Amino acid sequence: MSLFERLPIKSRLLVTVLAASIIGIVLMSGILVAYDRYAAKDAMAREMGVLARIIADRSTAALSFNDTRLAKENLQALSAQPIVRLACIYTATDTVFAVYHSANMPDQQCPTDATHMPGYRFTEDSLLIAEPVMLDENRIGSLFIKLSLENIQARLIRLVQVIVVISIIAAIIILILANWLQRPITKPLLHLTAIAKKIANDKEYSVRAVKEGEDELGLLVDAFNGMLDQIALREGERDKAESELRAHREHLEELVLERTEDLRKANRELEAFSYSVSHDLRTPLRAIEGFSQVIQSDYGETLDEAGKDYLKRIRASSQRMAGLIDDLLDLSRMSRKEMRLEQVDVSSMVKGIVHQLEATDEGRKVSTVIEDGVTAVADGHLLKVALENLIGNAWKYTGRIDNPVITFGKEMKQGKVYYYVRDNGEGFDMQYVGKIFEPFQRLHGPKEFEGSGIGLAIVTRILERHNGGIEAVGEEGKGATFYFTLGTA
Amino acid sequence: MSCGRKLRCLLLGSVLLTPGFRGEVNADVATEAQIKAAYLYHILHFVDWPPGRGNLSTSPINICVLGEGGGNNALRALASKTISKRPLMVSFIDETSSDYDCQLLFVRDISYLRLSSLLRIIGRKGVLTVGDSADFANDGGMIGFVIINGTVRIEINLAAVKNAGFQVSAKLLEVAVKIIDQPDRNS
Repeated sequence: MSLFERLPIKSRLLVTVLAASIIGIVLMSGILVAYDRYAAKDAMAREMGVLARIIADRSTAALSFNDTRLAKENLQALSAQPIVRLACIYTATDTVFAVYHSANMPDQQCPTDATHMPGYRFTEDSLLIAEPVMLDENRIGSLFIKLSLENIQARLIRLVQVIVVISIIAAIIILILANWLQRPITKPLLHLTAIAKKIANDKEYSVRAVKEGEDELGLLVDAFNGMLDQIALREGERDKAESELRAHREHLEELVLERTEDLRKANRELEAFSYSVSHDLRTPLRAIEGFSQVIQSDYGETLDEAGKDYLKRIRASSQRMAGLIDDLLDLSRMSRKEMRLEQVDVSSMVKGIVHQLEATDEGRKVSTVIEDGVTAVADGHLLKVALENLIGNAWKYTGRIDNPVITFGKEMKQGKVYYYVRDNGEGFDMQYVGKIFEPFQRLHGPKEFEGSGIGLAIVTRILERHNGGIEAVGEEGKGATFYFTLGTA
Repeated sequence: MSCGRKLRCLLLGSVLLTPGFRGEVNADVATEAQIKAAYLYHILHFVDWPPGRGNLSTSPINICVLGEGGGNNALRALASKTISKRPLMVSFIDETSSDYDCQLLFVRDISYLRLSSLLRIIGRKGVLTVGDSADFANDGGMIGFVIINGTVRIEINLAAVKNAGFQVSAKLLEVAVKIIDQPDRNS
């Protein structure tokens, strides 16, 4: 962008008008000077041509009667004209007959070829006139006059000076006039610009530009105002849509909160229900178990073998049911129990659990690798339940292999602490990995490995309460690793 | 012709070498007779005859030569010339002529007494009189040749010229070394 294009429109108008005017003035002045120079030279040539003709005519007698004195006198008349530098009268044979020098230029010589070209011609600083002296159609001699052009030069210089002064005055007047005349154009434009700026800054679309005429600028103002009307209309529509959307969103949040509250309530009710059911189921089950025990001890002898077998099955089933109910209650308790966070020595906790398992299941020999000094901030009781389940699982699923190894430790992944329990037992197929954390879902039959299928569900619930989580990695026949995190640690 | 200095004679020669005179004047140095003949021719340019006297636009201009003198050839040469398309004629006359049908009478070598009677005869016939003798103008002639510093000059008796009704150009008066503006002492 050029400097001119960066100027405000007002200055551009002024510059344009001024430039056009100055170009016009200079052009006109140039033509004027050129014409004046031409006209002045032409006038001088004609005027001096007449003078030359008069002198030539007056010199006919002097030439005819060989009177150089008279010829000189005739030429002397030229002294009245100070621009005459030199005047010569020649005879018919071009011999110099009489000479006149201007007082300030006495060294001038009459040229020998002056009479060859009758008429006048201009040199750089002189006008040369050659005029034949005629007597009854016979040329009896010639007159040569050399005139200085200094008058014309001086006149031109004066003219240029006058033009410069007038041009400066004209430029000032034009500047004032242009400044005055550009207002009808720039004023509405500046007004429009100010309005547009105000709108851009304040987002206030109610302002309107004031129309001052019916010309193009008036049309522009109309179009501008029309555009503002449109914008204001759209703005109104948009605001309306926005407020509707906002209302809708707020409503949605309310709805979500409401639903969440509903869900929580339902969940609490479900947990309460599940707890009370489990709790209430224990009383009749205890009766079944108690009376089955009584039958076995008091009337066992009277029963035949089939009766004994049935009774044994009743007892096994009721015991299994009691286990299931206990587990359900555990799960329920894990969800409801109040959290008490504390610093926990996880390594010691794992060692204690392993000792307990070794004491319970004396026949097994399991190698354990337990990383020392692993600590965490957690509810100690809940964490212990979770670890009991995880280590219990590892113990259980290594029961049928040689050289079982259970490993506990922690590692850092992506800035988070992952605790892990690893075994080299049965493992599982990774395509069922999602199922193992759901309650009552089992990958193995009860004949292979006993269990209710609720253990990992309890672990998951405990870890969720610690804002943590659990993942499992395994392969069939090659063991499994359970990674868990604690959001509280 | 008594050229005082050679330069002046050369100058005279140059003056006479106008286009009309080339051919006749062969010598570089013009003779006095040639100069006077040329002057006669020149004088005709500067004089207007009185109305009705020999000023018809096509009629010849008759130059009458009276009296004895040299340079007749130079004078005869004038006959080949024109002035404003009027041909010149040259006739040599003597004092016995009664009818001076001339526009110009060139009087050579004539005594004062004869001259005054001659001038009286011519009177107002509209003949321009040019004399070769000293004091010709003083003696009542119109234009007289004099030699000053070896140069041929003219004297004009303006009174005589005016009385005869001639108009003489101011230019001719300018070249005159002497202008006599008093009434003819003979009249």
